Amino acid sequence: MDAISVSGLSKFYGKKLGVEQVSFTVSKGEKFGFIGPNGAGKSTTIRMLMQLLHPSAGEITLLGKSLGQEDPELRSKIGYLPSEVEYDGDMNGHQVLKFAAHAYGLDLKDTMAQEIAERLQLDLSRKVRDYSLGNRKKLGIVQCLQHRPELAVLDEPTSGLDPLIQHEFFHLLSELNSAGMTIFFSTHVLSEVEKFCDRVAFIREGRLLRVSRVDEIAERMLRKFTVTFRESGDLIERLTLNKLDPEARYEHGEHIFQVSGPIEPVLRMLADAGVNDLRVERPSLEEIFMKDYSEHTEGEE
Amino acid sequence: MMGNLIRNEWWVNRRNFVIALVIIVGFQVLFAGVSDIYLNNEDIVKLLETIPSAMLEAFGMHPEQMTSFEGWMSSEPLLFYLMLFGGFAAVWGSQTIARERGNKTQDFLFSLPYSRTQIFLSRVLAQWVMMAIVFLIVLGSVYLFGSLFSTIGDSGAIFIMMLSGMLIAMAFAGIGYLFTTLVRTERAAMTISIGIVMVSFLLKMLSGLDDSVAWLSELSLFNIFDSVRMATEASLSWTGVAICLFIYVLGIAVGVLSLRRQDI
Repeated sequence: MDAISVSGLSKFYGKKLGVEQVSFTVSKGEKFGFIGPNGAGKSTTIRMLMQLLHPSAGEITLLGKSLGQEDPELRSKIGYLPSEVEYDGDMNGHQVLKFAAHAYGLDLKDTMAQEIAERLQLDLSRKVRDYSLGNRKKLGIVQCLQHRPELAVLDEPTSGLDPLIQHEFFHLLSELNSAGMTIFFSTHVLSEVEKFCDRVAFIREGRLLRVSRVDEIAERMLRKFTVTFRESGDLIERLTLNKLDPEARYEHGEHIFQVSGPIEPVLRMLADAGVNDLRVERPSLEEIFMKDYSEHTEGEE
Repeated sequence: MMGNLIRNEWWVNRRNFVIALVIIVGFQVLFAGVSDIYLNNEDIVKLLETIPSAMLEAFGMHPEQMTSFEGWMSSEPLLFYLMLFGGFAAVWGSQTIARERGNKTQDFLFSLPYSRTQIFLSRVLAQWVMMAIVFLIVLGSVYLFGSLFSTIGDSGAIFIMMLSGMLIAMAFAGIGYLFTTLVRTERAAMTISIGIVMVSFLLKMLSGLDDSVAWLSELSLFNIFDSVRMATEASLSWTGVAICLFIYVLGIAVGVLSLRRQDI
């Protein structure tokens, strides 16, 4: 069964587009990344999943239940971390978590709150107003996961967290995912998705560009060649590198170009030309996304 | 689960509530304590008779009422009680949802497994209890200080006057509920609610200036109950009670419906 199924989801704020015709599914137990630049529609989509926004069109099914009217019971199976985490500044971390735990019908001592707080090095005795942005984010993570939800919906969960805590956070998420929790998270840090997710959806200007398995994207990736030839100078024209990649360039004595498909003929051509140094790299997910992004932009223009 | 929301509302409003209680009780205790200075004081009665009736009416003063503790409490003390109680109630009501938006805590609250109706009604109930506590403590304090420093002739009249404050406070809270889902900040909510209380008082003042503007009194919640009748007959008009309850229920209904329909 799908944990999340979204079909033809649109949201307009008056005439302004939030998202349009967004469709994807997330299987139970999957780790799904939702990527896009700021203002792409990630939070709008997530806030519709959480019943905070009413969709203009489309259907959402969560954990097998179709979202029509408000369904608080369904929300008890979901943990949600908003992109901007705010709590009553007068409360301390412990009080926030106690209130949230009671909302789920639990006593705080029966939740994972203490364990997660310790792992994230969060002092729960301090008032929220004294927390830094990072500590507020940590409190949000604890609150979102403390009741062991079936589905965790995390909107930009790592912003404000230092690298060590980010590492621990992903470790924690992996453990919870192994125990059956479905993870849906949005980010604009593509390396997080590359390391952590099974599948990824790209969204831009309210429209879903594509949904792919992360390992499938890797297979279709371009190879980035950085070559220093024995012969000095710009050899792009002479070796017809611009036929391999119209954007091939010569910088600081190196020829840089990208090639898709089999690389054997390219290596043979380079060997014939005489090579002093050669690096072949897979572009990062970030570069792939930026290429997708610019292709769509050019297509529209 | 509603208990969790109600306790949270009390906790969030605890300082505000104590401040309101101290101010409202403080004023009433002060007025009750000094009542005998005014009662049957011929100089003060003569002085009041020199003041234009519209001015006296604006501040709820009736020289002929200055002969009993209930009469005194139905004048300026009652007006202060209504204004203060109504003002705090309007602020509480108007901040019910506006507070969440202002503090940007709405995503947290509305993603919890509570329906929007549950959240709204829990807060309404919590605030009603706060108002009831204010009413009971003010009532007890007036009885106590009235007994200590004066003579209470008709305790029923005192009860009815304090009850009228509770009803008018509920009406102002209802007005707050009408727009709490529409404003985006706590400050805006507070400004609007205090503004409404002030406008209501202004209408009461203006209505006494001339017969041609007497109709303005119909628009003021401060004129909904007749203070002289409360002091002398110990009774409230049922029309006034019905209007207060109607505004209260209407505010709650509009607030809930608006919250359910809108985007958070």
